Amino acid sequence: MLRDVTLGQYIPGNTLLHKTDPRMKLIISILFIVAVFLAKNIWAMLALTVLSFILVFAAGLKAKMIVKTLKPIIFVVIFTSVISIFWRTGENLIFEFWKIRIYLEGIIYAILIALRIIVLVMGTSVLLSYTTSPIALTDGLEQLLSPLKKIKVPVHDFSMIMTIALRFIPTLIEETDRIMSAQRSRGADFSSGSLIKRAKALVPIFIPLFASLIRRADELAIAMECRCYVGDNGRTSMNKLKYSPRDFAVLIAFVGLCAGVVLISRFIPGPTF
Amino acid sequence: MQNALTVENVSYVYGEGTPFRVLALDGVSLNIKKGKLTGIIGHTGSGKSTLLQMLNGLVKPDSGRILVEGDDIYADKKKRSKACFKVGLVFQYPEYQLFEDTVKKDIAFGPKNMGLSPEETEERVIQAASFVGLDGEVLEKSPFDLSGGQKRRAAIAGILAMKPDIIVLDEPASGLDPIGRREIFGGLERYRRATGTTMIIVSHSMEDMARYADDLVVFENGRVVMQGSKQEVFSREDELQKIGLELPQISRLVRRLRKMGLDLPSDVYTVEDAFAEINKLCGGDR
Amino acid sequence: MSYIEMRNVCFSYEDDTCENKAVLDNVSLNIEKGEFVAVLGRNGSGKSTLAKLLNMILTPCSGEIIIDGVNICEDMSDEAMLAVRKKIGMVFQNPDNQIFATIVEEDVAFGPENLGVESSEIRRRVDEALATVDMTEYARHAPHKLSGGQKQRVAIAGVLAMDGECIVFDESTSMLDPRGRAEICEVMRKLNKEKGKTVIHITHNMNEAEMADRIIVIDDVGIRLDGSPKEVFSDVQTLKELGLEAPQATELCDMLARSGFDIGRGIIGEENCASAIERAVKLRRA
Repeated sequence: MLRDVTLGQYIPGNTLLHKTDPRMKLIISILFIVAVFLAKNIWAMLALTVLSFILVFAAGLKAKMIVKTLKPIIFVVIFTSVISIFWRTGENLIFEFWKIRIYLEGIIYAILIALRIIVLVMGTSVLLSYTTSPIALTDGLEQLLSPLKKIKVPVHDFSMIMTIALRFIPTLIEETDRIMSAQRSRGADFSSGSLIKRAKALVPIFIPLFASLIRRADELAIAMECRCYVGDNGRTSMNKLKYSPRDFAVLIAFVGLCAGVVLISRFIPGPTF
Repeated sequence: MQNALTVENVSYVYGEGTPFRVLALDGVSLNIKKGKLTGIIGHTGSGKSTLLQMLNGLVKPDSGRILVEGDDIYADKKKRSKACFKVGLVFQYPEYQLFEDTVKKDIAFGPKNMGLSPEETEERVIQAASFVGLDGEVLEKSPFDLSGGQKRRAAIAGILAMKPDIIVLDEPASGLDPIGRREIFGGLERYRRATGTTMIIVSHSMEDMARYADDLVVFENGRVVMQGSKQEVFSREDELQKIGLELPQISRLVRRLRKMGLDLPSDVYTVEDAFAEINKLCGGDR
Repeated sequence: MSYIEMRNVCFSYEDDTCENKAVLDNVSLNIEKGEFVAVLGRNGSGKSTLAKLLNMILTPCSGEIIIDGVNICEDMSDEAMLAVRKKIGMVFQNPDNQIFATIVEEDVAFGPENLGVESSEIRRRVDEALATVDMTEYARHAPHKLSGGQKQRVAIAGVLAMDGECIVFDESTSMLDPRGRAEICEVMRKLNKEKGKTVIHITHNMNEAEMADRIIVIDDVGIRLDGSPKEVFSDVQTLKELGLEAPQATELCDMLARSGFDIGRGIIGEENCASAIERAVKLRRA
């Protein structure tokens, strides 16, 4: 059933990464992504791989979480790697059959690409989704982007939209489930017949769902108004985010690691992209 | 008396293997008598809603069987998919599932899915609508233009029109004012008297249960803790109170009067009955 | 001067001049500070509209609304609006549609955050509000996992954190089970008696109205009955005409009185009714 879907990947914990300010984690994630794209050779890439494993364990996650994280992207990794093997040409031909030629460079390139995707997904998942609750993330994003308010970017509104979306996704999943069950009780069949027939069968779900969405939006808007919501004007926050020295320590450590990666990439010779 | 529906030792678990594992139903067994109105009472989260969805093929029990007229509805795929035509289920707040552009078309949705002819469908729609007090131009209106109570009745008519052997309703009158409640229950009573259909109604209102139900089933934490005739279940006042269920005020009043020495019967469930009994008590002396 | 004064208020959803389809027509009403008022009426009788006029969610087409000495129809600025909404908080019917944050305490903090209250003071208010509604242990929980009664208590805490003077409950109990209803009624009683808040409870449940100091009954014409529960319930006939029901015990007493028993009018509460009936029966038999 739909309601078995769990939302948000946040895994509560008390590690250094959990305690780090969400804004700092956003900055670190950006640094991490930049580092991944600057890592041009195999040594730098391996260093980043090691780093992302360290992140996983620093967040107190179990090894099986690595498998769980990578499972959805396994196809993408294999697909891009295979393409790269055939695509890339070079000087060291190691296999030739009919028109297919595989070069050593191609294989190395494939490995690098695969590692790059894996490292990217693992690193950002640990930093932004496993150790940061959705609400902390939206808060962090809002405050990090708050300078943009000066040039009239509606940062607060975006963050409010995200918060409400996060809150209502479970409710809407439940509601969809209910409406589907109710229509099934009237003999509706959603799973057989031609494509057109199936598309038509969705009408009895979508119309009530839209009606309900509108009703909820309306009631929620009034409830928010009643609690004196007038947008961002003079709002304060109960949990004002404050950087602690620990956050800066984490940042410095991370800048160091990323710089190291870039240096490796520059100065230690090895197979490159 | 023959059973219309039998629930045999049914259990169900939500979210197996996650930290949110809940035992929703724990070895539930029930017999629903043919032609009777059985009331199901119990708090939200006591497992009632899960059970209701099992009765018409929506949710398969983890263990145990559901027998409709002695026939296991989960025996094979075909039986399961046809179960919703035998057991009609009206969800709580059913008006939120209306979707067609006219009330008439919406009520026809179920009969159409059963593969009935247009003539037969039409006839059933008109009939079902009249049981719940909807007719004439209301049927041509958009369901979204009706009042709250009318919407509710239109949605119930959508199930009545399928003419199932058993009709199951989850809180059919919740959120309605006293007149709205009476319109719903009145319509259901008329339908039951005319067709002899077995009904199962979940309700929090002990007043409604006292007035309309023949038998009662009490749920608590995924188990059936009491089942029997209304008189039997209501006689166990202390146990009901322990799980936070109060008898209707009128029954409590009559019991109090009995304790004060008035010779009234213990099974009085409506104001009219109480009035008649008190008059009898006085009339006999005069 | 009363805390809330409505003078000749008209309102229509259709047009700004109230020439047709007025939901409220020339309604006048006073509510004192610290009162506990129940507003009764059928679905669609304008109860909710009345509530929404009090904190400027809706504006009347004519008439005056004076809150705490300020005519809120005169000054429509943002500041004036916030001042009114801060004073008069609202708790609505559907618990799912008034909590928008993903964590309970974040939601409770929403009001004071909007009012620009300082962080440490918000913290203090949130903790106090959650303690008042007995939800402290759920401060860090996700709202969608809570029961209906718990969600409503969170919504109440959200209003309390704004530190207002009056709370309007707009059918806040109608979607709850008996346990949830009892929880919310207990909170209402506590807010009124212990915290001195003015409480306006809109409902069609008579047993809940009974606990108020004063009951106002409205229908589409306007205010029909206004008085203490005793006074209002002594007029069982008018209540019936308006599509409402007196509590069962009161109704029985009224039926007995009308059929010639020597029993007073407007008897409320099970115990009072029992002793009155006992006395009347003895008199009759003597």
